[in-house]
Amino acid sequence: MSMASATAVQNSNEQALIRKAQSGDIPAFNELVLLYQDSAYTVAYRVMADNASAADAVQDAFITAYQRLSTYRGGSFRAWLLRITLNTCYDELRRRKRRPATSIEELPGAEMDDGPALPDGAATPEQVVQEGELQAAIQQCIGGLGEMQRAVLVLSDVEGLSYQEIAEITGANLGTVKSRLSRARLSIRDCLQAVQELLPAVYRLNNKPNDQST
Amino acid sequence: MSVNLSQQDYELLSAYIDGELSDAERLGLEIRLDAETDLRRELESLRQTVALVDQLPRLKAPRNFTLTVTPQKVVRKLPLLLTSTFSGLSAAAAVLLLMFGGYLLLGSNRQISMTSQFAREVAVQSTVVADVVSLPAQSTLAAPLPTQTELPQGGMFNTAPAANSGGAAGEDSDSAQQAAPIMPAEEFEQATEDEAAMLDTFSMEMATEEPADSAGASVMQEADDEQITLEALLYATDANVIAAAPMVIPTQAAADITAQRNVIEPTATALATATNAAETTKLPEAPTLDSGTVGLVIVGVGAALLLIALATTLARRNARI
Repeated sequence: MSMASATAVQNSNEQALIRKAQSGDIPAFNELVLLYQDSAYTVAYRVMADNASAADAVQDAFITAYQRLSTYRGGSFRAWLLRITLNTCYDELRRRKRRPATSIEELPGAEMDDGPALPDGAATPEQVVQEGELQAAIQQCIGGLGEMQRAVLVLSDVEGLSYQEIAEITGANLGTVKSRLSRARLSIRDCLQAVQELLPAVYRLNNKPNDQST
Repeated sequence: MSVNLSQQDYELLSAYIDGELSDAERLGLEIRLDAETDLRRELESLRQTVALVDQLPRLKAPRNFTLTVTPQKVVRKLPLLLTSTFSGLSAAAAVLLLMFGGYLLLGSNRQISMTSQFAREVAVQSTVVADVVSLPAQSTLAAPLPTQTELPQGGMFNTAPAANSGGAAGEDSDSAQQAAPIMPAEEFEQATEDEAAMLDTFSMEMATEEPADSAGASVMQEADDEQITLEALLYATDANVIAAAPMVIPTQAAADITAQRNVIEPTATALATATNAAETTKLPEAPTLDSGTVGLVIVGVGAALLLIALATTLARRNARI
């Protein structure tokens, strides 16, 4: 992804920022926020499936991160931050489950790791694609996954994190990460079957063989 | 559709896509991929899925999520006296003290008035008991009672006070009981009838004498005449009392008397209990004044605490404004 040297420089700068932030320097912390807010928002959005919820989750996550800076003990700051972001999202999702609001999470089986392939909502994936929004269809399919599968998929295929990083963020072991990811992908694939058939050209256009980790 | 392969195979494919297989696993899979078309097909469709998700646009944060330093409200720590905890606790303590003090006050007032009524009550009791005693007197007192010459009264008097270190009423009844000889049955009946009237007088005397007697056992060693008078009054009752009384009679003489008087016991129980109860109730008498004073003090402290609680609450309200 990035140049090794650039990464190294970035890392040392980042460590300095983190140390300053840990001693109460809010502007230093804000620099970290600017570095990672896109990443955090992306994860939050993919998990929460709507802008407002994602924004709230990210705001809460950064506040929590500042309060818990002392718990950061080195390693990938991004992973540490995304963990907080993910947990904030989980908390909100669980809170919603307790309320009888219609949401994707209310799908039968949504709580199991093997989430349903089809998302909830008035629009089926086919309809959404017919409206010209493949991405939205994908997002809806992601939203149909169970929390755990969704998190792993987003972290891996959206954010490009390694299994190890995903394991740290989600607090699961490698084997669990592998199995959750493979199931999530299968679910998405099945969910997008109809879309594939409708827009095979689009599909093929986006097909990039990808055997190396990125 | 897609469920040709096992979960395990899909996991292999998925990890293969991410380059997360060990060298050995990868080699093994690639060999299989060459051989199995199903495996190849599934791999491809998985890859497409991953690519689709991957090409989702990186999102930009809709706004900056930097933290701003908000001017914090100065959280002044209130001095301990003004904290709501203190007010609450002192109010609660005040209530408890007021209740306790009030209870003591009321109790002491009740006691003072009770001692004056006490004589009347004893008179009533003695009348009732006398009736009870007189009924079975004829049967139980069939056996001849020992004479009264056995025990020297003087000796009894001297030893009684030393033996009894309890309340004055106890001393009185004990020593008098020990000294008093047993009367023959006929005289006993007569005595019980007289006893009612006697007891009235006696209890009045007891009531007035209590304060003085509580000072110590020395009272018992005063004029024998006085003692004898008391003893005579208590004679019949004492005989029964000794026999049935649950009180411990310390001296040897008393024990002898008890043995001799066992015959009288059943009917004597009621009278004994009534008399003893009446007398012992009066024992905690001297402190009537003390408990009242204590009660007053406690009520005063409670009231003061209540005022403090109110004052601190008001002060806290003012501090916040």
